[in-house]
Amino acid sequence: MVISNIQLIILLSIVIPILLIQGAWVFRDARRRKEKYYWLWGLFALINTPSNLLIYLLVTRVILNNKSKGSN
Amino acid sequence: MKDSDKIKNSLIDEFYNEAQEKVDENKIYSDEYIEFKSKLNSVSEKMDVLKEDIFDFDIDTLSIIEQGEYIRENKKAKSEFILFILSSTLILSLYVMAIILVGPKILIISQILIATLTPWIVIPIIAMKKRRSEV
Repeated sequence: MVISNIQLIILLSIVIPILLIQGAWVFRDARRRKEKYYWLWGLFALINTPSNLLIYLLVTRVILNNKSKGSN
Repeated sequence: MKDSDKIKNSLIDEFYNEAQEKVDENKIYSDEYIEFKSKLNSVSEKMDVLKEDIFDFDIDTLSIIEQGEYIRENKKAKSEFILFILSSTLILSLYVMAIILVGPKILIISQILIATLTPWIVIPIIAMKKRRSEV
């Protein structure tokens, strides 16, 4: 499969804002939830969409949530 | 002690109802002592201001401190968010430059690697940390 330059530019102009918004949302959310490494989470969400967002949601909403419930 | 000081002291005593001796009436009506007495009266008027409830000492210090901390935290969050946006823009622009220079191959390979490897790295690390913190 060969991607032409125009196709590449269109793809990047769609993906880059999505990545930026995703990273910013994850950064803010991790900070609000008082996650220790909120900077890393933000950068982690910046490099891929949507799998990294799903991993973040899985970790913070399921894995770490169970931890806090267990400690209570 | 000078005679004038004695009279002034006795005037002060009289003013505060603590006089034990009577002050010489002839001296009291001299201009100097009338002026001194008016000064005492004006001081008394000024001190009466404190009796009025003009100072609100019922201040909730804890809520003020909390409010200050909230404002400081908000300011810090805003500046960190701006810093994050700037650094992420820089990282993404470097990534885009690499894609343009090397070709779309780097985009496809890097995205495949990230999408396949990160779940196998991040989730076990978090799970291990969770287990360690529970022990």
